[in-house]
Amino acid sequence: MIGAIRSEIRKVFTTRLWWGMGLGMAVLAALISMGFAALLGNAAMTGGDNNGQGNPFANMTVGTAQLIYNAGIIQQMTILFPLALGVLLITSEYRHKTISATFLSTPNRWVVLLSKMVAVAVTGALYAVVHAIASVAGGASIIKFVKNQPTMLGETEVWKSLGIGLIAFAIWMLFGFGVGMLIRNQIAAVLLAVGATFVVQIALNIIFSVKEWYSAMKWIPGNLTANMVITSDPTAGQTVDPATQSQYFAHWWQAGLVLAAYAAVLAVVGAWLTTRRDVA
Amino acid sequence: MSVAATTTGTSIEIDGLSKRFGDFLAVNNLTFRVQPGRVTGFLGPNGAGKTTTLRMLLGLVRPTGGTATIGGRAYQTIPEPIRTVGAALEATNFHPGRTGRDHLRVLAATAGIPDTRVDELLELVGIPAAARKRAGGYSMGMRQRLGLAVALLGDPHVLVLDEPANGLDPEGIRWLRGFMRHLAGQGKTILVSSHMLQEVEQTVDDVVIISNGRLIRSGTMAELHGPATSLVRTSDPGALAGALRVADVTSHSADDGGLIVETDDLRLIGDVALRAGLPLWQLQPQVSDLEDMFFALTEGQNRNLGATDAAAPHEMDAIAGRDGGNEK
Repeated sequence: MIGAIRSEIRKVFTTRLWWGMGLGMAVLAALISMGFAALLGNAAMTGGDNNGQGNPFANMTVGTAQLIYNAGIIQQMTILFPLALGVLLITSEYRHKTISATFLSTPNRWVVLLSKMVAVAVTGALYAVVHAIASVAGGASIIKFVKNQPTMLGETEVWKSLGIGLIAFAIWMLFGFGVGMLIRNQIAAVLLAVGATFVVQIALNIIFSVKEWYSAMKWIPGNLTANMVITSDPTAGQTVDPATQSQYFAHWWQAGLVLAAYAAVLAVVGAWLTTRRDVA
Repeated sequence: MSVAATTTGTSIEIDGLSKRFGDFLAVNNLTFRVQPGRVTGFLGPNGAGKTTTLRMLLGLVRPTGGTATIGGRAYQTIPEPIRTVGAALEATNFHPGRTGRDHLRVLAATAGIPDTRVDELLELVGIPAAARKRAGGYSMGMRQRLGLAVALLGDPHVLVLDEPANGLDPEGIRWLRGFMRHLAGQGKTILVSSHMLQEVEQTVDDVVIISNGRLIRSGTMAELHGPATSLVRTSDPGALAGALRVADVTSHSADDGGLIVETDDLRLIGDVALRAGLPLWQLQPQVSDLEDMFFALTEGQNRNLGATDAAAPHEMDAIAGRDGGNEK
């Protein structure tokens, strides 16, 4: 098992994919956080603060800092990188037919897949650290130098949020890994994973809010992720609209467990199929 | 250390092995044994079921029936299998963005094999410098060499090589022959598949020939070459045949009026002809060419060409089903 894990980790870091995508993600994360930080105090752009919805950018709070430093994740943009990497790490084995060599050196396919999941989690955590550094660097520089507001970087809740981001990344990569095992065609798997995250989630959010199924919205993966990383109300208690409030679980770990359960179901079904299928 | 390393020679046992893909019977009740310490050629036309058989042997494809074992053990049950069995399946199985050396290092990690062994093998197969470049730019010859390095990584006693000569230029094939003889000299059990007899003819001790998923013949090269015969031309083949029969030598007439005599004792034939008063127009030994036999055995039976096979009507539906894997 140790050998298989070492092999899988070597696999990740011996092609250019990991740093190429990591670099793209870091740049995007920094830009989105800078964009969010630029909204601070901009009431005209984000709506008033007295309609019960609450304006998270009206005042700099701990929750606002969480929002800015996780902006890429909440916007469903940077979270696509660990998702896609998870898909690519397994489907490239099928695309380049290296899966034969993998199963020859470790014939127990459950051991292979568990080792891959460990490698996926390690890489996901590394991506999360890079993401946090880029986001904080981008966001905090605008907050401090342009908006002259406190960066909130001394607050425990902000660090907790960044730490939870690490878990979220690992789960999203596992998500991608599950999709990749189910759909071994690389192009199809990437398109489906990214497409579903992007298009289907937006569609579901719109449909649920039009139908006023607010409590159903909290089960959507993207909302669960936001639910995880925003542990403090950015509007400092001004959100009193029950419809908005019912979109989230009370605790981050509840959302995290639901999200992890989704990923686990995909991964287990995919793994079961992988252990049974012929490798041609 | 693995099981095989402590015993001398490991055999491969294929017993009643079958594989069905949908309604296509790729391998049909195949039974043969690869003797330890010998080089066995696994021959058959493209699409005969060679690759499927090897993949079942290596636990990549699940058999529909029967067993395939190495030294009595299923591949999946061998701990750190690359230390016991080395396999080179397809020369295209490399990530184009990973260097050949890193490809080896990735696989080496599973059995705790050090990088020094990786570099040693790259020297052995003759690509130490090229292996530090990304595999995407490799020639077919370099891929085959890298594939062999993969197979030899764990210094296994058993080697399974699927069409290692595919895509090699004549120089590469010569190198491969020499390399396989070198490995055979170390007492390794080698099973090497090919759709071309002459590629392996000079290297193998034993031959297993399959066609349409079924065993056609197996045995040593000497056995498959068959009894020696001679070709004789004379004025009256019938009279010579009669005279030879008296001398306890059987013969039969060839299509073009010659006589095929079942002995390579040319002197005996000459003496018999002289006593019978028959002139000899031609007298030459005929080595039964295994190549001819290989074609004779497999000709017209290749299901992928759509040819019918009266002996196995249940396979007929499958003709359009699935192609051999070599071209993919």
